[in-house]
Amino acid sequence: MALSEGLFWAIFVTLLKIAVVLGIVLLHAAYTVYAERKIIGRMQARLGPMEVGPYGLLQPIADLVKLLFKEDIIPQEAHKVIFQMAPLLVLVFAITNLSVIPFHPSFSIADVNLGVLVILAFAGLGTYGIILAGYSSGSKYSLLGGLRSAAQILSYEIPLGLSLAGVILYAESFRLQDIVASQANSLFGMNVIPQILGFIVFLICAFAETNRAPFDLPEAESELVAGYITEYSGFRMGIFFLGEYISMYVMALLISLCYFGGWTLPIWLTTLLPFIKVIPPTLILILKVYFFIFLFIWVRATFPRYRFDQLMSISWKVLIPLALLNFLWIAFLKWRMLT
Amino acid sequence: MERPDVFVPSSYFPILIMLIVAFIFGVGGLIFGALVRPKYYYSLKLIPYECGNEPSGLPWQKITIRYFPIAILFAVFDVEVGLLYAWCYGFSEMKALGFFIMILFLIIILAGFFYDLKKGLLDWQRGI
Amino acid sequence: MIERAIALLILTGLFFIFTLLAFFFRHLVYQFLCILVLMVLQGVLYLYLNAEFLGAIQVIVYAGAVLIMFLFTLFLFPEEELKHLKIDLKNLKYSSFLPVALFIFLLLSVLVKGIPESYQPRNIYFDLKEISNLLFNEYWLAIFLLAFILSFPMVALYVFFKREEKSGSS
Repeated sequence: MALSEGLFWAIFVTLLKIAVVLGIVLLHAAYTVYAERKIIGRMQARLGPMEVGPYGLLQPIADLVKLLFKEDIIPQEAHKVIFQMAPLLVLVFAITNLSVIPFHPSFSIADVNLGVLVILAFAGLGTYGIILAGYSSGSKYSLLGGLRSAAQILSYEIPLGLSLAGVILYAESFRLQDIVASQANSLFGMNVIPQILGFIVFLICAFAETNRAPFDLPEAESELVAGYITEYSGFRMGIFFLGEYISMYVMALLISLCYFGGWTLPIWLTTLLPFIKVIPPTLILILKVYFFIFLFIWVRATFPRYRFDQLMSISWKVLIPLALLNFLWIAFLKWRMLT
Repeated sequence: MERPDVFVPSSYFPILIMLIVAFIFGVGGLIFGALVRPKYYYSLKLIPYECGNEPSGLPWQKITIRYFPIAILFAVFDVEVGLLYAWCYGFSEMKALGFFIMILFLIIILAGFFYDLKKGLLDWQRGI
Repeated sequence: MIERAIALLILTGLFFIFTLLAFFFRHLVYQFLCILVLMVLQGVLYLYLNAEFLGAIQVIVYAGAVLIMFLFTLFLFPEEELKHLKIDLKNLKYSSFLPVALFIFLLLSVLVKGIPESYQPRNIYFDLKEISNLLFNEYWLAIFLLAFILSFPMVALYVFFKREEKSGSS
């Protein structure tokens, strides 16, 4: 019995979509590094990279070539297999998160019912990459840094999930397309207006989940050298950073889809400014994502790093009660709306 | 009851392909790098980093038990979030009983959580 | 239909391989990794049976949360106690008797009778909306009990640490 023709066609179409999405996102991830150095440079009144190409535009390519030509050192004491697999775990789960995100009302790689839950599940699995990288390196700094980052990611996953519960309750669906549609049909047009509390919690958690400043505890050089990345070198270290930047994009996309209406504009804005309707939907989404990426960079240039105990108390003592408060408020609102 | 003939995993199939493509991307980069990068190893280069000193023993000795309560609390809250999601999904057909049992559930969980907070299980300065 | 059968065959094969690996690794962390893969595979199996929500919760709660607890427990021990585990073949023989017997029995029954029509995946469909309403409206007592079961470890945690502190200081 032959396999059905439809399956091969479906695989081909999916591969084509993956090629498009992966190409665009990887290019963005590479140039976010450049944008980050440039913007932080300007904020600190210096120029940033200027040497490679005009205005230093070829800097990411030079970085990539340099990383490829660096030695790949595996320490003697390391657990070799786990040490080699751990960065791949981080990268693979970060990239796979992209597959459930819709970039256009009718364009997503996998149109699944449980989009949000799939992202949460892969984020949970990505944590193992960090813990195992720290464990297998055979260095004290790596182990401590890995455990700290794991504890950080675990603590911030709960308020993240709880604040997303408000969004899910409002849309009564896990599908990201439905979440966007429910926002466009609602009175406010954006989830951020009724759920401002949940949005703030989600934003802070997004910074912590991606190990970005001001929560970049593993990269606190003064106490942990480079955390779980201490023993990594060359392209393996680059994979960690690639994973970080891609998950930054996933978080920015998730924020703009769940709280800022994705590719739609609120009705009150389009009645106020009718000419704004001509902007194509994907461009609206992209502009929102760029804003949040800029915010990630801006915050890094502005805020100092938190201490580890402060980090833990923010999550457990402030964010979880706030997220629950937001959830109860949305439940109350919805209950009133239904009865 | 008549059920629609759907096979749900077929909509998740692209995720599997994405997983494989991502893995091939990572491994491919590493293999390509292995072809071009230099390999001059000597034993001094392979010892773990310890700020220039000779490393004193292996790292896997004894780790503080501080991380353990976080893992347990995380597991508890994960179960809670899972139930919460199921509740959210069927909200519009929920009766009053279903509404208030969830509120009660949250209150009981929070009572346990605030007990731990009050006793200082998550204060990092204080020695347990 | 043939694709579904192939998918199930691959899934079963992976289950089998990783179960065997979990037995024969000598290092506890590697064994743990096998169990992690098994948990994820179990989520995929739920997905195969059309229970997508259950699969997602399986991966989030068991693979994401409970196993991290296990891992942190493993890290409490020094490395020497984790590696070079001796496989006690005699014990293994007794403890693995029941699952193997069950597996052979099920395999034989499937071979003799074939899979009943109602167990084929396309006839199973979980409507989460219905299940959620059933759970919270009718079976509220279960939720109530679950709340107490979940708040128990939090209280137990404090009692445990209190005792640790006493034994440590004395």
